Amino acid sequence: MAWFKPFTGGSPSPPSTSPTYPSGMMQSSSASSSLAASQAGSIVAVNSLGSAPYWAAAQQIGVTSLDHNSKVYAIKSYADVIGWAFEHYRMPEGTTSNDPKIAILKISTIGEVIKDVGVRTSETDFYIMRAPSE
Amino acid sequence: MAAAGQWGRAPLKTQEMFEKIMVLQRYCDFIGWKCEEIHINADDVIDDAKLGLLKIATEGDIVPNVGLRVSEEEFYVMREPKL
Repeated sequence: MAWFKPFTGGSPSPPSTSPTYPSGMMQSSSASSSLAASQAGSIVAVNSLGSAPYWAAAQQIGVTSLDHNSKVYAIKSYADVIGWAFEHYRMPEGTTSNDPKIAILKISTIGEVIKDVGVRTSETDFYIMRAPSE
Repeated sequence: MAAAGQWGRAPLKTQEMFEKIMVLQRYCDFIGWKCEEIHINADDVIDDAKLGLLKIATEGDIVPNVGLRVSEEEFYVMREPKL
């Protein structure tokens, strides 16, 4: 199962404000206590991200570099195995959020992984890990 | 950090366990922590808090910010960098 939904052809679509998530990377994904068998396949997909289709799809959901993609994947995988949820939040420019984790990421360097919080991959894209109690 | 690359070395069990070790190591890399492989004997006295927690964890469970118990005797412990 692909980590990022590959394009089936044609020109890449412009970035969407409502990104399409492949299975295994759902917004506010339900937590899993163990690695699903399907994720073994997604590791392979991520490793082959140099291929244009995967990379183009990744860019559509706010991942702006292969390095960022690796970080998003690492956080998502870690969240899965510890039973935490994982979400992508796109915050429109000029807006603010009361969410403390978003606030932490908002002042972080783009690409910096914050323990127990997540990573920011662009000015507006935040990947957040959530404890079950949150 | 070497352990994940040693798939097939005794007694690294299942693909799922291997993947968990990889996940733990990658996450540690990105947050700037170390992932320490520890082998203990059944009668060893444990005076390490994180290892103590893992000793009572279920095999295969990752304890957040603590580590992973692979088997009765093998553990991967997440270590914050010393300041």
